[in-house]
Amino acid sequence: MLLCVIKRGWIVFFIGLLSACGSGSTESEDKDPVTPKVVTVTGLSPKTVELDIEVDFTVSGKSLDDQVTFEMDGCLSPVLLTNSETRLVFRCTPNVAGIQMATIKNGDGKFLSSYPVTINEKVIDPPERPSMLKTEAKSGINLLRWNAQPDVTYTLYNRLTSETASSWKVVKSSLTETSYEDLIADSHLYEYAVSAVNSAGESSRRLETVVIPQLWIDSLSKREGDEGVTTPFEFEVTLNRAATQTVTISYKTVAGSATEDDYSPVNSDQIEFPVGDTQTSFTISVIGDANVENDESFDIHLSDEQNVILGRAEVTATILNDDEPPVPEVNGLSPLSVTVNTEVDFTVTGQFLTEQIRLEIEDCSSAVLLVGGNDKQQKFSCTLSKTGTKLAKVLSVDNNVLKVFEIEVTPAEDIPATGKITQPIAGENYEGDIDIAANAIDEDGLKKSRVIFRSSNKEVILCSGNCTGNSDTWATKINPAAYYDGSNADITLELWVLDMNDRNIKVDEVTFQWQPLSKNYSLPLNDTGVTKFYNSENEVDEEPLDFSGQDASFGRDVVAAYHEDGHAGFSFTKIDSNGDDLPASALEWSCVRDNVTGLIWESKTDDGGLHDKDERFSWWKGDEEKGAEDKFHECNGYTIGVKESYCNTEAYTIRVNSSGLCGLNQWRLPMKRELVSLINSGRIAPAIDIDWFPNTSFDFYWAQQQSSGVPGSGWDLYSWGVNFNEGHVDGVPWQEAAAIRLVHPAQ
Amino acid sequence: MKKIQIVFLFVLLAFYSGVYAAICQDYIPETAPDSAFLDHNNSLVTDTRTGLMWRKCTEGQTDEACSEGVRDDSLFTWKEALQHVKAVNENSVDGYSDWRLPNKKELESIIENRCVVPSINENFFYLFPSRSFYADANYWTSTTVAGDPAAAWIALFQYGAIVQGKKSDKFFIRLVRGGL
Repeated sequence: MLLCVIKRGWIVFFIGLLSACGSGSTESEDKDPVTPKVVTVTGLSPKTVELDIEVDFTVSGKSLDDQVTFEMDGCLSPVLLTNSETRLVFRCTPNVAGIQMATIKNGDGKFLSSYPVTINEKVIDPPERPSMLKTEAKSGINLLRWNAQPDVTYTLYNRLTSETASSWKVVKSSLTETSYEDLIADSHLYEYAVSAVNSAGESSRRLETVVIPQLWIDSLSKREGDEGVTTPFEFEVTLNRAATQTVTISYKTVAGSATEDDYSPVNSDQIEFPVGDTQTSFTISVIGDANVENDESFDIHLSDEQNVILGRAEVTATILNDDEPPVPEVNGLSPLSVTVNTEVDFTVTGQFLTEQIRLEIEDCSSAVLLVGGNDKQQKFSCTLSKTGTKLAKVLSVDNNVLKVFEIEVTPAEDIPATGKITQPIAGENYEGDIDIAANAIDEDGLKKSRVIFRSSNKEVILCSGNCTGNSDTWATKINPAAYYDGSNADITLELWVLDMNDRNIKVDEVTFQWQPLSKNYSLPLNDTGVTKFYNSENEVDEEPLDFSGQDASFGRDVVAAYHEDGHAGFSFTKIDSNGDDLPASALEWSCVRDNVTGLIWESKTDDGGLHDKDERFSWWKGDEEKGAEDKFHECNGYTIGVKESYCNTEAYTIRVNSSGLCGLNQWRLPMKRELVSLINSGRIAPAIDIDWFPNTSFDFYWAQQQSSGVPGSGWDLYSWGVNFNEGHVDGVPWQEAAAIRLVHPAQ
Repeated sequence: MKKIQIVFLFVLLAFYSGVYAAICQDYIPETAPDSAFLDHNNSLVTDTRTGLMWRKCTEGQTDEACSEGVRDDSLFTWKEALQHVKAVNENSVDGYSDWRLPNKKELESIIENRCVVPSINENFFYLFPSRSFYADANYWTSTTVAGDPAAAWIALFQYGAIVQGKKSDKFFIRLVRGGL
């Protein structure tokens, strides 16, 4: 056989020998010409292959020929590559994983043999873990580099070095580059790790840990040393952790109160921490002198840091003066004669005085050092409260008595000024400007340099500079709003006189009550009077689930629904014509107090009198010349030309006040909000509790405020009104006929 | 009162400059002065006169500055308004779960009658930006009209009136809590 193979190998080159070998074969066939050729299969390899990888299956056997077929599930259209009697090679790419039967048949389709072939899914190993190659750090950026691997991405992790027990956080995943600049928003220290990732998974990580330490430099205080002697100022520089790379940093000196005569300046020098080191130092030379001076300082600035974060970039070096200061010497104190109860500035004179010396005087609890002194003189302020001879001691900072003086405290010869606020002022709830007047007399007959009114938050200067004579009076106009501090309705005016002895003397005081109009709006809410529930269309017995949270669920109508004093949450008290409270059962009353808002309301009548419900008025405000003053509507007693009889809101208000309704005389038109407070939205025609407010018209009632609008527009010719038919609130033209229900402030 | 509103609209068109600022008249007393309000420096403000805590935003304004939000999504029927409040409370908005629709008097208590277009203190209360001179700045109250259960009271912050609105119409909401 071998011989023949060798012979066949020569076929190509020695074609002439072909017949020799062929004839040999022919010869053997010739020997047994009736024996049929039997195709036998003896083996198949490989039997284990990988999915989707092209593979050459070798079928070995005997008498093989190119009619033999190779079939296997997942092996599409195998291609016959090599054809010999003992060996056939089929090439295909298996595309179904698992164990498949490879079946070999002869040219007639006869089964020859089969073998199980294991088709494994592609096995890819997780990548190698990458190595961290290089790291750089500067403030704010950590630069990380690592080695490259094929067909992977990288995931970079970090964590605070102070939290090594905590888990790593992903800085960036799916990185294809082999470097990354991590922006650090804080000055913490981070450790880094990098891993490689492919479809088989992630490599191990924490292969390299980068420590970017924080650098600290300590400030330094040291004595300067003797004259001409150089003292080394050694600055300790430390890392809070050993770095994994060499750390370098530059430093320089920056002059402070110390100048370059005091130390050897350094413009730029560098220090280095080899890997593993955490401490080093550098030295600046300080040159001593003999001057008595304050402590001086210069700064060290760090910069150009590499592989480190600056924990502190600047420190101060303090050169302590070690030359002894001289002991203060006190020569004099003035004045030595003062007036009792008068603030006096005392002057201490001498040498080497500092701001640390103190002045102690009997009956003067604390003499206050005044700024602006120097080593020759220092000033103190003090008021002596008792007459007589008082000891004054000047003390050093160590409490040594430097010198003692005697001070004569004499009685005040001057007689203080007097004065009086002569024209007070408006009463309660006054609105607008008020006039005040005052006189102040200094009985010495001395000129008054200044007279002021002073209140808690403002002062008015009535007279300044040329206030001559001793019987002057002054008058001024003030607006109380300027004095109102928002919390206390009392305004106190004080009259002060600053006399020629520079004494501020309060000579009179007046307290009066005043409230800005807006204060009236601190009106407690008395609720709406709605006690029934509704859906979109109708009244219902109880609150529907999909209409929850409506008016009747909340407020005084729920928590204070005592009907004896008014419907739902309202609470009223009847008042008689003298202003006395009546029981709820009273049948006649003149006014009603709302116990929630405190307001007192006029009752309307049906008797044709002043308060009759059918009276109608136009809106008029005389002092502003606004509204419609004269004769738009009939009312009781109207007489042409007699303003007191006019049918407008102001004339009516004056008439009611002069009648002293319920013993009161500050009746006024209600503010819109006050009028709204009377609306009972649970009632209509009228929308008010008629048990307490009978004789209410189904009409608009005037409020005090005009409508806001552009002057001249027409809209500013309206005022607000509340319609008590159903309770709506809108503007009403001034000349319209509307009803009035006056209100009186709470008593 | 229809007549008044028509006159008023004409007035606005004639005199309103178009610059975004309320028109205020110093001779009319303030009814919602700055001094009345305690600003919590968040989305809430308390009226110290009534003790009522208000949300500065109109419901539907989504950001802290009350500058964002879709106007059409912020309009509610009366029923939707009540249901919106319920949903707000289920989520404890701003840390509270007792928000409610203000009643008629509560909503009136923050009207600033010194000013029109709008009649509200804009330092503390935010509306949607002006459209037709705030003609749609109408806000629901929880108070049904006793004489017409298909209507509830609404406040017109265009100029400060309180009128009736059909419950099927859509208006804005401002939430309140506390008080009493």
